[in-house]
Amino acid sequence: MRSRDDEIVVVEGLSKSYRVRNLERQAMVENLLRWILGIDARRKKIYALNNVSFRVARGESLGIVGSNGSGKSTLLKIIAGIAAPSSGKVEVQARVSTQLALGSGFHPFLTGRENIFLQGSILGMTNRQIRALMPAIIEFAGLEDAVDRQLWTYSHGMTSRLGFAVAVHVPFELLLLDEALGAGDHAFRDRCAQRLESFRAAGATMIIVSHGSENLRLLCDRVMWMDHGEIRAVGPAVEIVDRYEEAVESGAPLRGEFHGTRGAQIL
Amino acid sequence: MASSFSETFTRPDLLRNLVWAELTARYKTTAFGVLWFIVNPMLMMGILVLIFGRIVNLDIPNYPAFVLSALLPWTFFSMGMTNAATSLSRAAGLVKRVRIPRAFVPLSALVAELVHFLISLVMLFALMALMHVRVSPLIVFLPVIIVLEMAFLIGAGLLVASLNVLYRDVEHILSPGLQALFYFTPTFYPLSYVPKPWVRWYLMNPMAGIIELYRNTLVAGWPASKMVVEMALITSMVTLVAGIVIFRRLEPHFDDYI
Repeated sequence: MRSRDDEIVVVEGLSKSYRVRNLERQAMVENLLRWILGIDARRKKIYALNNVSFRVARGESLGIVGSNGSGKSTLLKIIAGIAAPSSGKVEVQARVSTQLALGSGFHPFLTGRENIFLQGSILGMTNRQIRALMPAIIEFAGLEDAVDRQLWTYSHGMTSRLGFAVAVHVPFELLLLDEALGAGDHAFRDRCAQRLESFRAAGATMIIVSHGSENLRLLCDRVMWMDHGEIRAVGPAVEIVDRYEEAVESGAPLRGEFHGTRGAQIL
Repeated sequence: MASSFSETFTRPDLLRNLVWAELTARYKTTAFGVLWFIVNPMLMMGILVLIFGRIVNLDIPNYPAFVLSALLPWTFFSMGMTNAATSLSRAAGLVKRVRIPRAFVPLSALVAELVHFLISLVMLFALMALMHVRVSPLIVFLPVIIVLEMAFLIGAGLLVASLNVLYRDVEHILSPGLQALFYFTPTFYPLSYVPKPWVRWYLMNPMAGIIELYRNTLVAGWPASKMVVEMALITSMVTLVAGIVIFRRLEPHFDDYI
């Protein structure tokens, strides 16, 4: 498998399975040895992703929709390099900025400013780069008054704003966002959408996972509909989102719920 | 891809910020802050001096300094292990949501403990001055011994941290394990009390050799035997390599188990 120059993400035959651990058997030593030696334990498998293949072109903006447990978050985690695929190939040729849950990695006892340093360095910046971007990040988050207070004094919305502000200031070629568009109040959500719009205009590549499909219509070129760990449909954003919403209203995708016990945990 | 161990050495600012978070988090939540990690070894020293200096009456010169020179590096080790073991499961947000060199998580816990240890050494020097114990010229080797203990601790820390992700049993075994190991380490008695035929086995515990080296350089003032140096080096390096190998092997699966 070789990716062409204009393809930034290539996913081929990707599967992710979880084994159900048999804790009653207390087979700690056995399981440990199997794991270290890489011998497949004979246990029931649950597939979070099953033979998924797709490509994302440079400058493209891909949306992913699906019910809880459809595998969309797992997919994003594998692209981000946080989870390992069980089989198949994933090639990412880009500097990635990931925001899977806003403010993950934030520390409640650090101040907002200290958290910007921490989060910025988690996303790959040096302290010098962060210092240069600091005023812009604080302004974007609208936290001029609160930035030197400890994070635990922040409201949920303020924390999310800070997380989003850092994520969109990191230099990146590929932005991975999970459920990030629901953060903050209306004004902030508009600012986020504008920011993503301007990224898109500037030719950035984005993969956005969302329940809220309104933004996907506006922000994405293509949308991929995940169901039961498989791709149910891929196509132009408006068309796929329309079909997905129709299905949600008729209650069809809900049969995916049970399958997604694992997915629900990840969220 | 998910394996990011090689990045460990290329992102010093991230490690620095994580250590800072680890340290501030601890001190911003306590009224006495820094004092707490001095209390623990001081209390232990008091008890050991009382029991083995007065009741059991071990005839060892400068016994308080003798004990403290071993207790400080021991506390560094045992706190480091305890913190490293739970570090990954405590930092679920870092492990499950962002991509960083995951070794940084236990590593930052260990570096924070190293900072405590270095500060606590001031106590020892104060005690030695108070008791008129002369600092020996061997003190120049102290940095080397600290590096050796840190190397061992990194290996052991990566090991318990990654195994604890799979089996939380590790953090429960750790506390009694450390307690047992304490008695097999020359903390309140000198290595010379250990029966000769046992010494090689005794030194299979890396901390035994390391503690003996600390004591030799800090208070005793004579060089350690060749066997002590050899065993401390070999066991530490084996632990370091084992820790790195196991951690790298298990790291891609952390997300599945936390």
